[in-house]
Amino acid sequence: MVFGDPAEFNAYKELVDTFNAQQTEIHVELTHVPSPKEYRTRLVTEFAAGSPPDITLMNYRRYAGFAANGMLEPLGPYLAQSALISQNDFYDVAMDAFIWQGTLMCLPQNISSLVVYYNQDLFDAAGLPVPPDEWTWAEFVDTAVALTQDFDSDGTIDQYGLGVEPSLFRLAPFIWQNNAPLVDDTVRPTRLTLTRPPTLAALQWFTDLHNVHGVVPGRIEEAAQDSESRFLSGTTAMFLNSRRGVPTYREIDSFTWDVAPLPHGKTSAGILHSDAYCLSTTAVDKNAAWSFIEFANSEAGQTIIAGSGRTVPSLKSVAESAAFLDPTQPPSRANVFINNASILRRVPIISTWQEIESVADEEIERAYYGDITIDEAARLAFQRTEEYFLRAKTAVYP
Amino acid sequence: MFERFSILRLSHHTRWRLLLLPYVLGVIILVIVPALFSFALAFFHYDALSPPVWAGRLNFVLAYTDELFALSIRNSLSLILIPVPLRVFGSFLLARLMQRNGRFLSWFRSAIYLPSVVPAAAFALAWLWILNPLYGPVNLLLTAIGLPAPAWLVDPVWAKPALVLMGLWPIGEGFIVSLAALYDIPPELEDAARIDGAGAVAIIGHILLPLTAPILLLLTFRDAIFTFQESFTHIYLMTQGGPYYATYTLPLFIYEQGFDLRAFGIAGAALWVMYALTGLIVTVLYIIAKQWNVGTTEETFVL
Repeated sequence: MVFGDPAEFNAYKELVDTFNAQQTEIHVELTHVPSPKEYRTRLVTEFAAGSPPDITLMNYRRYAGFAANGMLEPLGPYLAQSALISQNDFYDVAMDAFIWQGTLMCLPQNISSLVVYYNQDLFDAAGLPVPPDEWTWAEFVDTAVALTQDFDSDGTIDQYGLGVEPSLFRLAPFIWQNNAPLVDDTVRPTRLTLTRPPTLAALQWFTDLHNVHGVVPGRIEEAAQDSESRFLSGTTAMFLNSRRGVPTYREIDSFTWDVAPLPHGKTSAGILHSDAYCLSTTAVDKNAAWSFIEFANSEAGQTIIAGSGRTVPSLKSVAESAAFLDPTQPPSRANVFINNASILRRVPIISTWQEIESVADEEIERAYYGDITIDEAARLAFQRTEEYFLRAKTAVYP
Repeated sequence: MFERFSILRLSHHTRWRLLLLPYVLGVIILVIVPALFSFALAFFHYDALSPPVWAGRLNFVLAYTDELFALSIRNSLSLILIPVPLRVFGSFLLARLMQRNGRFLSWFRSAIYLPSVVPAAAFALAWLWILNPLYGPVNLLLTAIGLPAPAWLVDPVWAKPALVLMGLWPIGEGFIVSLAALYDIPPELEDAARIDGAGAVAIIGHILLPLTAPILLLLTFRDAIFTFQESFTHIYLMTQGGPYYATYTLPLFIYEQGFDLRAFGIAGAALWVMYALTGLIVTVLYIIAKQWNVGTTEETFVL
């Protein structure tokens, strides 16, 4: 079971078709749920009903709740015996995210991260150089300001410099870039630390994008047409997203686009985005299910998905191959994702992280749109998420 | 030999019961049994992934002390109190207007019924566009005639009115029932009143409303209960309870507790609070009906 846009779905369909065609004993059926939010609900209901799909694609922020309840079969032992792939073939930072209480629980397909997608035509039209491989927060804001335009001077912004979702997950890399903590303990967290001064400063900078600089759409403008649609229609110059957007963006033919790294603050930091193939304990034929997971994460399998643009392959050999770095397909600066691998950090692996993000997002969004102060947002996010930290099970032994 | 089992040989009542059987079975299997299960669930901690643990009254206490729970009830009630009477009275007035036979009236009647056949999800998505704060036709119109254009679903103040406005359209059922009720009134009564000098308002106030009251009351009951429980689809698709809980209703609270937070015990407890509140609405309306002496006698049977 996977989620994603039609373009992403096609990639998985090709993967499954290839697997089904090359052998006759196992037949894999693909289930597709379009939105990530519904996917999450569907996972919970299907696991609760005791009849989940044998294999599910799960984000590292999401699998812990299932792992903590023994719903997932650890894949470490299977990988150790594989003749096709081995632990060392994969990027460590992606693998580490799926180690639950000492064992590899799920096998990651990708090592994506947050980057800046930019519309090169709009940069050219404004006479600006494209974002360099290294730039600062200030340069980033200045660029966004220069690209925010009211062409006909009617008081309505016609082109925004930037689009970013006001959420904890989007804010996190900027917190780390300010040498500030997101939680009090990355392994056994007990609280969000948005209230600490350096973290608060990052939140201030992030909310200033809207409240001071006005380089992102306001709440009404965002509701009328969201930033990703604006980027696709060529009215937003930069959009922050992970690799996930690529299959859809490759369908753009009205302008040239590419990717650049996030700017850096006091230090450089990126945020890991990674989904993994997980095996349900209820699967009847686990070896057959593993054969598919193994195939999907072999060079052949990861090459298919990488070809669609969907993933930054977790297999080093595929990530460094033409399948991913294909110079004929945008983004031409795909190596930005690979360079990120060394500076990636991740949110804590705890069973209630999704709930913590949902609640914190509401308060961050209110501060972002200027409804409440950042102090208030930080305090409310801390208070409202406390109970989820209390209930959390962590990836390390208690 | 089939004649021995023929349905015609059964008594009138038995035949009715037989015909009702599939529906009764449906209600038992799909409504009553799950409701009883959820009642039992309300006394357990259950996250659907690990086995349930006895919790006593704790889930009810947790729900009761959750600010969002109280807020969701307030939102739910305010989304009943204003739109339901508006809808029922509106469909009655429209039925009165369309009562005569005219060349175009049958077209109008179809047009009024039309929004009611649109599936809830399609209706919600259409209104999401209609109420788009910048590009929606409502705001384009308001701006064109120089009126301020509210942000509707994006603005905490305007989100509820937006939902009320949207709810005013699917009134087909109430309209048809009101129309039938109006046709049922002997025209002589109206003629007699007119001869006595009664105007249009007096006819409605003194003749038509009192005579159709039992039916309007029934419609109000139905609509109140329906809105309370079924508003979920629209809200889930349009606002997800936002902006910042402005349209967060009880069914949404139950859904989130259950399927987002995996707190099925609290969801079960909240569900039974919803049942109790539904019962309360019915009781209050019943008491009012009894005082008016409408809809409670054999002739004007409603309940």
